[in-house]
Amino acid sequence: MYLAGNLSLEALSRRSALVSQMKFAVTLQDIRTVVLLRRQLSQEHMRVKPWVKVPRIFRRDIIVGRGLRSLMHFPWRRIVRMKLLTMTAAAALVMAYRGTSPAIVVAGLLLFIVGLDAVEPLSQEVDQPDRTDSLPIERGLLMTKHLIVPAIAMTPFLLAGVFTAFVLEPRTSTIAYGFLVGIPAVLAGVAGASVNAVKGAPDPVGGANEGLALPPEMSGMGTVLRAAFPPAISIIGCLPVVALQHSVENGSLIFANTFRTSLGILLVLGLVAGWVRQRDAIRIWFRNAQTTAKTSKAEGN
Amino acid sequence: MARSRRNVPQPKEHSALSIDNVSKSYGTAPALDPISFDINTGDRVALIGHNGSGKTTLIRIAAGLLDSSTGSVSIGGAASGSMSARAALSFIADQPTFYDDLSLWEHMEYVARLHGVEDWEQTAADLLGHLGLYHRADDMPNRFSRGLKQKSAIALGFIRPFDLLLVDEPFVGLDAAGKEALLELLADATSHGSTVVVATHELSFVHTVSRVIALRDGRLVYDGGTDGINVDGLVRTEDPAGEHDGEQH
Repeated sequence: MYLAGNLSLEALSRRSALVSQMKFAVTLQDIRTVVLLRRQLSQEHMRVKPWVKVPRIFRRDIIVGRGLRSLMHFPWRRIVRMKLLTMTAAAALVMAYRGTSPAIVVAGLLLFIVGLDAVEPLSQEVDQPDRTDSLPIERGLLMTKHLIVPAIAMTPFLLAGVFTAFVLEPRTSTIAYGFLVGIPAVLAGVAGASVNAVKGAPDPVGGANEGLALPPEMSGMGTVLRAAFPPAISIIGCLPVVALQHSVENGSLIFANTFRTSLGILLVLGLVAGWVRQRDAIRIWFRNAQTTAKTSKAEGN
Repeated sequence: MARSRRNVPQPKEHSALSIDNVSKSYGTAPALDPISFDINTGDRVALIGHNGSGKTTLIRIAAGLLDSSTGSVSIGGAASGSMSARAALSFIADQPTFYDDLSLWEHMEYVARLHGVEDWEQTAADLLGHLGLYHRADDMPNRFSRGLKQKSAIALGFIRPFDLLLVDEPFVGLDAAGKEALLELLADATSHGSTVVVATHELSFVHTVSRVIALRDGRLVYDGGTDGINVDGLVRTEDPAGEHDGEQH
């Protein structure tokens, strides 16, 4: 009874149902559902009263304004969690800098989790397809614009990360390299989470269940790849710290090498934004190409 | 001198809503047999039928939210789901959904401004006041009761301009004041030249329309005026002596 937290039987029954649903979502690698169910279990609701009112000037673009308004409803628990996770990720990146390169996997995964919270406005659009698909704006454009606010919102968390790195490596250069490594890392966290959110959007050509016709081995491999791809983007975003560590070890051009790697990562993240913008068009083109190929093959026979 | 337009092609008049041979099946289970009809601009139409007759399926296909198995839908001449069709169509679903992270007032701003309405605030205040929701404007609609959610969805449906309004079971969960407010809003929309199509069982609304379309088991069983029809019989599952079967429009 003590462990049950004095909850009523109805509440316990409801919680056990949520846990069952969460287990099922985990087996399907449906990260968004796991996030939503975890929030329900921990009673983590959006604040009714925003932290501050978003001034009109920041709402000039309504999609950006909507994103900012969403952030202003974040509960304090979520903000604290995001900050702690970013600081832990920064500590993992310092470990990688000191020579434990695999620590970038830990940092990448932590920043991916932070990103999942940061891309809430985008996830909300994906969660409510009826509402989104009734708006007179192309879904790709809407979702791309929804990347702006999460990217900006990572700034205070980036600062917390750089501060953590400075505490662990108290040198002036840590601040400069902290930003050089941290900017692509936090943006990659947002990018990975965005890919995870966007891949849950309805298929523009209505072929969402086509994978079910594949043999289980192929279908299973596809599912694993689809689930692993978004966190992999976040982990790739932490690679500049490896470049930094190698440059320091070899005594080569430290700043130039780290800067080049960071720039390369930012270009990859630009491609991710391009994919979000053109996802529907790519899918339609791909499906048309498949249909044309099938027709040509049938005519050839 | 003005040029004579006698030999010049005139712009084609498009129906507000054109359903052309639309059918829907889920796997091998048919939900909607092929249906065709046009609804003219300014019409006020009730779509009736018993539960499971295909009203929601048809209305969601018309709104561009569900793909039909065959046929096509156009809204003011534009293909359903296209940007111009989305701009012209306002759809109020039977089970409204809202963003978890926005208050009702913020929803109103988002929807209005994405539809190009910049002076939305007074309209939003008037709408919320009319529906008795003004004091809840800063609350999260996702945590509202069924009735308040329905009223919020109605407010969102009316905050933006539209030529065609599609509404699915809007009276469910509404109190008497809410029903009255909705009937006034629907009357106001048609008086301003908009076309209104409502899927409903609400007889008080059905008796105010100019045209009734009835579905039974996915088939169109009646399309015509309201004079002398047995509305109650049309929404029942059993055949009302077959007297209204077949299209009459």
